[in-house]
Amino acid sequence: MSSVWAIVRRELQAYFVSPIAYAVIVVFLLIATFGFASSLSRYLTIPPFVLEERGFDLRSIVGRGLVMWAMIGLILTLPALSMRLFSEEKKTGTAELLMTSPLTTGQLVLGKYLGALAVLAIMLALTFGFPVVLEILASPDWGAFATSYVGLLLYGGVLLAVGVFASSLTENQIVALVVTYAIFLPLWAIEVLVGFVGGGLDDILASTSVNFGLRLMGLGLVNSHYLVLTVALVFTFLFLSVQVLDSTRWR
Amino acid sequence: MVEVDHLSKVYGGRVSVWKVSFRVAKGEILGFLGPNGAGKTTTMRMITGFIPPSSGTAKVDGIDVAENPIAAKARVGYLCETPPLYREMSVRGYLKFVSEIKRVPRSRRRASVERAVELCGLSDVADRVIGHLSKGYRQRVGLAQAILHEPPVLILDEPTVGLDPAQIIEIRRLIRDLGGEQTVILSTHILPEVTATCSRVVIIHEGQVVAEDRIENLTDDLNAGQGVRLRVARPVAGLDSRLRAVPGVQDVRASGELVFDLRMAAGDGPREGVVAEAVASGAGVVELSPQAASLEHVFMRLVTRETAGATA
Repeated sequence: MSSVWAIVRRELQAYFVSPIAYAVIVVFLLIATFGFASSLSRYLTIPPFVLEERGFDLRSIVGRGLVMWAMIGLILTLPALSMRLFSEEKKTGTAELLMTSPLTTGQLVLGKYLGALAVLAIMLALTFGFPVVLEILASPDWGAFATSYVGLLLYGGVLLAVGVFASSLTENQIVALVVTYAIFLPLWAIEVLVGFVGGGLDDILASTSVNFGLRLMGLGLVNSHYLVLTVALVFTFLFLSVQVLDSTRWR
Repeated sequence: MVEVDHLSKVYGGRVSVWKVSFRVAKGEILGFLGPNGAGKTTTMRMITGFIPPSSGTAKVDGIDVAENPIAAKARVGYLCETPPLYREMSVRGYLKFVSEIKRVPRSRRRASVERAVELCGLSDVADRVIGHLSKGYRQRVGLAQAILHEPPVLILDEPTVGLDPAQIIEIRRLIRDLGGEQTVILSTHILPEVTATCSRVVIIHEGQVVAEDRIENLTDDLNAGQGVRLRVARPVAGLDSRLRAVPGVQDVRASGELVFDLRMAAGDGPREGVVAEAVASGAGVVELSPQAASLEHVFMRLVTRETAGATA
């Protein structure tokens, strides 16, 4: 286990010594801030009687907007964080050090993944200010606040696991980035189909859509489908990464 | 300490290494010699567990690398062709990280990092960022990484490539010092390096072992017929045929009018005869020097013979 922590620490160091982590965090915070500001202004433009009629309040509108924009922020930034994880090691030859050290491939993948996940946790923690302001202005619902963050962490966790897998495939970081999107976009697009097909299939699609699940979490509903789905996706992609790395025909 | 048995690697129908077998005893320094692209790196990568062999086995300290990779890898220090360095880390930070993933016990980490820094002459740059170091220093950091956990087996892939002569001598001295305690396999395509550091040599060509012996034995084979170079003061017509007539002389080749390369039976008799003949002819002896068969000759002979055999 100490080997896993050694790798986690090295990844964090690599992120924060280079400009990568800062760039990713700044872009994410800009998007989240924009989301907060725009949904707040939207709330202010809605006439009070409409809000009352529909049962909307400050928290539900801004909270929902914030989760939405945070999701977009994660999609835009996390693949840039994960693309280097294995590709860079392959390119610079340091993979040879890791793969000839007494480490299992599982420990290596886990260490890399947790390192990126730690950056994600820092990113999310830096946005705590918005919901705290919101909860204090409106009637506090700390439950919805907590489920939103758990939802975003799991959502980002899936993105990073896909990114780890893509990075294990190639020594080219740009290819890893593109592959991450190529795998994640279909997962993302499932939501679009919900409501089009109708009937029981709708329910199935809804329960396999990470976006749909995240929205429910954003409303303060703990959605067990979403928890199982995201954790299963993370395990699947990390498992696939181990398989790829074990079977890669190294040059 | 290291047993390699019929190790082969085939990449998509192309044979890279074919049935390579050799053994290295404890404390021995084995030179692993071959031209570029002979399969040295591939063989070493299979011994270190970086790539799986297509067939055959590699054992380190009696442990099969394919069966028990973690235990085998813990016993090997490996410096690959391009030192595996994280450019953004400091030398000490990097070595500390290596000590963690090489499973050096927590209590000994600091001491083993300092020992490696000391042995590889890195004290002056230990807190500098690796990316800012010169190539020679980077190579030394690579070596420090390999010896850090005091592995019983050290595998060094071309450790002196790209270094200046002074650095090369230093690295070779370090490797010689490590031998005796540690078992070393050293790959190179530079022949003097083997003569300078290794006790035994395995020559590999086109993926196969073409010779394996102690260096003295390999060169002795060629020295059985002694080579001698004779230089005379004045040209004398027909001197080469007179020399050829001296008992014990097998071959005379004139390179210019004044210099002759002779091949003769072992012992002092033929040489004495050659000198007497040259003096008697009036040519006068200026120089008589033995031409020892160097590893270069052995190597070239083995490699060219192999190629001739393959094309036949």
